Amino acid sequence: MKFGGDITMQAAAPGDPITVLDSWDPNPAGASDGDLYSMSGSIYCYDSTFGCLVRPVVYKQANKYLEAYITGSEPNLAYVKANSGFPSGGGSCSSDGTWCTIPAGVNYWIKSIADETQPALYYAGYVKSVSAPTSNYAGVGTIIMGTRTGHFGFAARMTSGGPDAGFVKYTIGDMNFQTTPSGSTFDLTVSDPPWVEIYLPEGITDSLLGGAMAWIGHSKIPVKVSGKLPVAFPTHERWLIGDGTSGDASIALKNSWFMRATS
Amino acid sequence: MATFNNINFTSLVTFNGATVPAAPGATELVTWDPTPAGAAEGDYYQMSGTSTVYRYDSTLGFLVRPEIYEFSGTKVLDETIAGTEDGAALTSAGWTVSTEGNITTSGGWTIIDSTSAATSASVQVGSTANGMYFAGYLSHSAGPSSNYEGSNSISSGNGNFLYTFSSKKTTASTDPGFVKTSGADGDVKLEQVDDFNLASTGGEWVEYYVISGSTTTEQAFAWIGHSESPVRFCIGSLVDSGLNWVIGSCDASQGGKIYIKECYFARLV
Repeated sequence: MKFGGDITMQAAAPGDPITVLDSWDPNPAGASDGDLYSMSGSIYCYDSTFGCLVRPVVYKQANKYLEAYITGSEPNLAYVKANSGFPSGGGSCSSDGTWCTIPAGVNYWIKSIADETQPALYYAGYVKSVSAPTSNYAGVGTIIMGTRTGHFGFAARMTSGGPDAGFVKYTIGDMNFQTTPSGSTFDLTVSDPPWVEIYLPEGITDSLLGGAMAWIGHSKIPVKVSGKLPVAFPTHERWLIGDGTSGDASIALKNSWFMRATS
Repeated sequence: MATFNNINFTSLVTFNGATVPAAPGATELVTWDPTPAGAAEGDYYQMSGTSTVYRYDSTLGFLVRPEIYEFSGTKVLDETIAGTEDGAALTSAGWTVSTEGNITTSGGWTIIDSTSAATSASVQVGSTANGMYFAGYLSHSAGPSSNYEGSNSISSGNGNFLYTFSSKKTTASTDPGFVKTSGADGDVKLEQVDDFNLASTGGEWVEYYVISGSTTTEQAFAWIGHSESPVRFCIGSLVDSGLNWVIGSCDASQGGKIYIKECYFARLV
């Protein structure tokens, strides 16, 4: 029997290739929308809207928006406001060419989400604790996913004691549930910190029972889960980075995507 | 997809005597099959309509989440329940069954009926702080008689806590999730609303993972309906020294009735 061209037999839909990454690259060369990648056993999908690898739960969303992106080379707050997707802010920031540092004190960036309620929010990037908070579990040195019914803040370092990162209340208070064996610590104070992803599911505030979650170092399961939310920002959802409301802490960021999605 | 002389195949192994190269990457499952034909160790599968990826674990003998597949310790399959077992069959398989006559089979589902009397089956397994992974179809039929009791549940005892996943947590809502029993909720929701209903036709594929090594606080995630990320996190369980799997009524409460099939009870040591 001869065939004149390519023929596809009727059967189950074909599988997508999975590329196993030996070293992390959030936007691997040649990636196409939906391509599957594996890093340290965790599965990622390439999302052409965001331009980076994301967790499958983010990829599956129907409507996706890249809110802001920090390369790490942003020289000052004026540049961040003009070019990076955070049109509001206060205080200062600076860069050593690789990391953009938000110093301790009242220094922050804000991206407001004016026209939508309760979207999913997803951060993926490198964040480093430069200095510890002056008050334990203060909402400082944080990446905050602010909603109209509560703020979910991820602090690069939660206390002046151990270096553990995790969720803190806004303006102050621990709001973590332990999801890893007792005593586990995720240290973002090191010079080459692990990849961090923070995710707030869409509509999570409907029930007032939901939580945010974070993966650190390509962990297979979320290693941080937040509890119920505290202080709300009634006007709109927002990203709030840095802050110095109830104490001081400094963080630095690079290769950081701030994303929004709805189903 | 396998390709042979520019002809694409997805399931052929040989063609006119020639071997067709194995399909690379994730194979899409149009309908869920935890033991797909031809699966080999580590193969990737993706459930159609989702972005959820599973891997075939030859030790456990079924498709598991990547986090389970990658577990670095020892994986043990304690028990399976196909759905054809009744109370007598479970007893023969080593389960300790209470009120054996209240566990029946439809031929496809094993039905654990606690509507008239607390009914359960349990099996002793493992050692303290083992991880535990349940995967299987659950379908809710009746109960609970009061909020957050355990008469319609699957439970895992790891020597520190008795993790109890209820097919319906309260009398008012269809929502499944973790309960502490004794009238206490045990859940944090990691998705938006009470949008699961295990009483729907066919039930749902439910997975939960009690994290290995957890000793002082409850640590368990649950996925429902092949969700991409966990949709429940356990923050409340009974402090309990038992090492066991329990199906049906885990707390001697009465009122629940659940259907189960294609269930895998695995341990991570």
